[in-house]
Amino acid sequence: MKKHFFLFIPLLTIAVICSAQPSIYKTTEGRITFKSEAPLEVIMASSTKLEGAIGNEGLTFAFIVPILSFNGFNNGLQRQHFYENYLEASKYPEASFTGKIIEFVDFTKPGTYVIRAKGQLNIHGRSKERILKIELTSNGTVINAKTQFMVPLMDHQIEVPKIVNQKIAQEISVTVRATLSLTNKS
Amino acid sequence: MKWILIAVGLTMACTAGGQSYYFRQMPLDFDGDIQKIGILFQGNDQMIWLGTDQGLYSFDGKNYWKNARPDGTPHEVTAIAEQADGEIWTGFDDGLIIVISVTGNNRVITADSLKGTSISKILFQRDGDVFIATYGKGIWRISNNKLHRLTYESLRHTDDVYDAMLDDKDRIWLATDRGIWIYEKKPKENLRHLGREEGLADEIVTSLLAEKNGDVWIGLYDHGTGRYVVDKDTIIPVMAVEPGDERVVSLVKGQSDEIWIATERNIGKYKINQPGHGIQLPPEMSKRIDDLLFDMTGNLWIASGNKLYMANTQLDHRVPDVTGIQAITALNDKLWLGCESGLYSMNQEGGDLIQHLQQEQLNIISLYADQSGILWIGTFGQGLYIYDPSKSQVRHLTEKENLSNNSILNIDGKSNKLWLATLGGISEVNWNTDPFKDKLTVIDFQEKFNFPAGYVYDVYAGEDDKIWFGTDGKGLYYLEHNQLYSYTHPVALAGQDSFELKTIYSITTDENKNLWISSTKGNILNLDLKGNLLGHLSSAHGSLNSLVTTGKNEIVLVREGAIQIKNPAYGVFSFSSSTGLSSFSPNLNAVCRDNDGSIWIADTDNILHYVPSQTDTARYVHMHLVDISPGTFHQHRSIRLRPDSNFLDLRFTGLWYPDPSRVQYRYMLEGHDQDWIYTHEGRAVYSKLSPGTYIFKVAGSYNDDFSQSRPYQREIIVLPPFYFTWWFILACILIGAFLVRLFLRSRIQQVNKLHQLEKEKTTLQLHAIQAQVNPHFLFNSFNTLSSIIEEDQKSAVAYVDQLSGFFRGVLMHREAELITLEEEILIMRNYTYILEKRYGNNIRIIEKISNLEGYIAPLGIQLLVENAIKHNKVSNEKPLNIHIDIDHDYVVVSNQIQRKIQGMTDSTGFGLSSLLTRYRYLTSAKIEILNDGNTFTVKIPIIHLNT
Repeated sequence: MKKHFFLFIPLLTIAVICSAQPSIYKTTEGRITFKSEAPLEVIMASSTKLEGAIGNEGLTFAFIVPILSFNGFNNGLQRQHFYENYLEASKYPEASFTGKIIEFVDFTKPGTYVIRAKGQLNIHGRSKERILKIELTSNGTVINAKTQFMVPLMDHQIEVPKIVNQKIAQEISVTVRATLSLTNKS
Repeated sequence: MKWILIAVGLTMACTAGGQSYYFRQMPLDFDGDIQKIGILFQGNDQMIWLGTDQGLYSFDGKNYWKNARPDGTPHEVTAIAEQADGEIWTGFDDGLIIVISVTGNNRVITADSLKGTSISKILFQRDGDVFIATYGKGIWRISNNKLHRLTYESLRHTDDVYDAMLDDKDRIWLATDRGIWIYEKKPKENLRHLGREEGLADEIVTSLLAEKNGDVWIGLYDHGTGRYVVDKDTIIPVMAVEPGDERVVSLVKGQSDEIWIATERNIGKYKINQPGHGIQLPPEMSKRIDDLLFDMTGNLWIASGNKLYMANTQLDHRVPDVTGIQAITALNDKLWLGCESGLYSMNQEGGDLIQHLQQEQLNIISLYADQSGILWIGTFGQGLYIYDPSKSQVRHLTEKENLSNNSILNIDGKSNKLWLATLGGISEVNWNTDPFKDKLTVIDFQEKFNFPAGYVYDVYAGEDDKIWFGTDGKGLYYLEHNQLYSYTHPVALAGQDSFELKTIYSITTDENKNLWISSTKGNILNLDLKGNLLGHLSSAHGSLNSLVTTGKNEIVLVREGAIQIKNPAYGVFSFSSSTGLSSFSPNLNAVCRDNDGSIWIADTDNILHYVPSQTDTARYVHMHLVDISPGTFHQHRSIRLRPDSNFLDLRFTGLWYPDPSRVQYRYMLEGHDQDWIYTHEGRAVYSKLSPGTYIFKVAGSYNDDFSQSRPYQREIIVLPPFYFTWWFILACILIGAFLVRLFLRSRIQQVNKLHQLEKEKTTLQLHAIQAQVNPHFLFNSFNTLSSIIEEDQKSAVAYVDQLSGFFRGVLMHREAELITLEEEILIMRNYTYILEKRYGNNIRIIEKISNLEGYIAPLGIQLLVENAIKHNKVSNEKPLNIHIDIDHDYVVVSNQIQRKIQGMTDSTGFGLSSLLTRYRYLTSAKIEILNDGNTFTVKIPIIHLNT
């Protein structure tokens, strides 16, 4: 699980080294929730194991969440299907979103920013480029981030048998709330 | 946020009655693999190229062809561009570029540095450099066959190039996540940024389009469209969409300087300095738009998923929220609709209907708008209404005011005069200046000109001073200088001997003031004022044709199921069910022309709008040779066929995207066919062509009129068989000449040889005779004889016998080629006797011939013996011994060598060499001459004739 995380930390570090004022915001709290609204059933699950970081200078970011950390669901069998059949958690243990921020924003200045994060959304081992709108509120040292977006199952080759179409939506709504704190690294 | 104020939302596309086109789905039965047509492109040869997620296709409106990558793998096409020489460059999502050349020499451009990166645009600079924009690795340049990346510190975060373009100054514009970058190579390398500071509404720029004046249209990810205004060096927002996931996917230029903007789900149209508006799309298309293309014939192409749609943008339509439309006119940029339920107005682009004169409950069948903005409304049974929309003034005229009839089929006017075509004849209305205040004078033509009462279908006020009237069954009339005339010229139609100009439904005139009238049985006649028939069109389906001129050289014919355009340059082209015009049932003469010259046509519940053709439109069938079998496919060279390939299969296609099904072909193989061959199938097959040069010509037409077509032609050469080729004939002649020469030479040599032999022989004979009649020989012989006579008369007689025997032998055999060895020995013995008598014991000839079989050259042995005596001392002290033996097949003559003192010999050196020469001709066996210093030996071969 930590494997990917270690990959992007050096990446950020490089970006940070290149910049004059190295500042990285790292998650202290992260919650990701998904919701499938099908005609016959609504499924919700969430994880608090969201980890990530935003580099202020290079405007790069990386977020990652272990698939097995999701809790909720309507029953245990559903949870098992989610892990084993749909997301194949043993093969693809985490989901990630890494990339850069389009808008030039200085998070060290307090304020609320709506930014667009462009990057590779990796779920089920399949990457898809996404541009996601994120609302950020910064007080200089702590950023509260929230976003909501849709994930079409097709984009990530998550195959759901037609028979359960009435129970699982083809597009899953994902909500993310995270708090990131400034950690000056040298 | 100023831009929001001037922006017009694309959401307008959803408005009822909005502008729409007759979109047709193109026949692409792609197999299941292709999910997306991402790129639409038209080459200069008019062929349409489709870049799909599985590779590149070309499309002629009916059929498509796959252009497979050399590696055969399916990859998404992400860029298509054409170089000036017609090469099609195709970029793929894995960084590969293939170049399709007209010469058939396709090539691949690949670089490790581009591998795995999607090619987003390929641009050709005027100086020959090629720019390759990628999505992931920035912008690259191919210069002098070297590929290198433009590396600038400021370009560090712009790896993703969405779009790129070249402006008129050959500068490269890049659409990126960080605004627009402009790269200039000359005069000085320079990089410029356009962003928020310059008025860009969004950092993410997805598409770019250059305008003629140097302005640039900018498609954005989230905020619609902007325009870079070169004069002000700023970007102004032009057409914004509701912020959301509605990025601009494509910007294209239309035919009349309008810009077409495609977002992911909508298409809008924008003309400079005019409000933009959305296009109503059929529901199947509006889910997803992948690309737009505006082709050279004026068709709009839309790629949506794996479906391809096309519409001719010359004809659009809108469906207003009213039915029973019977009349239409255009006034003040608004359309006025006369309906069963009254009078309505609407914007030309569509939108809400406004009802007028609601309280009158009018059933309107004709409308006319005069120059002062007043509407004249003809009703069914309710007379004439005069209406000024700006002042809401109304006036009403009926039969009471002397109208011929209360049902008014048509109205036309000129300045302060108006004519009404009614169900009961013609009325003229006159006023002074204000038709609402002035007294209106109504003149009934039946009263004034004794005009026969009855149905009058059309009134037309022409550009000159003539007003034309078309009646039902009573012919065509015109009013000129206040006098009514009947147009009584007889018209002779080919194939219709009894045609009379009786019933006229519609009248118009063209630029040359010639008449166009529609009559019964679908006949459309083009006549001059003297009654000469200039043209004739016959519409098999439906006879009620309404005619209207665009004022721009085109006559528009409207009837049930079809709209036909007669253009002097292109001929006739049609909108019909095959172009999407289904269930079209317009009212007679429910047509009008607006100030732009475009034509508005009222169908019962639909308003159609025809935009006249642009003069630069390529309105002809563009011919393409698709395949040749056998032979190689090469666009420019002549086709060469081997003599044994006695079958030629040519496949061709005519590009006419507005209506591909109408294309007809005619072809001819000059040198083989006497006349054109007409077909609907794009194929010509020939067999057993005799050697020679032919020219294959093929032309296409969409209206059976080939006079405007542009034939395609290609030389076809059937090569002669090798035995007719010039090189073969030449080779034969050369070889023949060589052989003759060779023969002659050998013959000459042979003759020379024989001649030589003859000469040798003669010489030898001569020499032999000379030798024998040598005075010295005779002198010696006679000396010997005289000495013998005294001593021994008997032996003297024998000596003379031997001497004469010797001479007889010489004389007998000198001319023979060969003599038997026996005869030769006989002569030799005679000779020996003579010699022995002369030299006594000083010479000894030891002859050991046992076997006398075989032949020998005559006098050969005698010659050798003579030679031996000639060259050696013969004396008492040293007697000369000459041996004559047989050794195998040789006669061997040998003697010991005892040389005479030099100078004493009278040798001509002739004897032995002439013998050698003679033997060369006689036998392959050689005369052997051996000289070991002591003994001189000559071996003469014996010739056996039987072997």
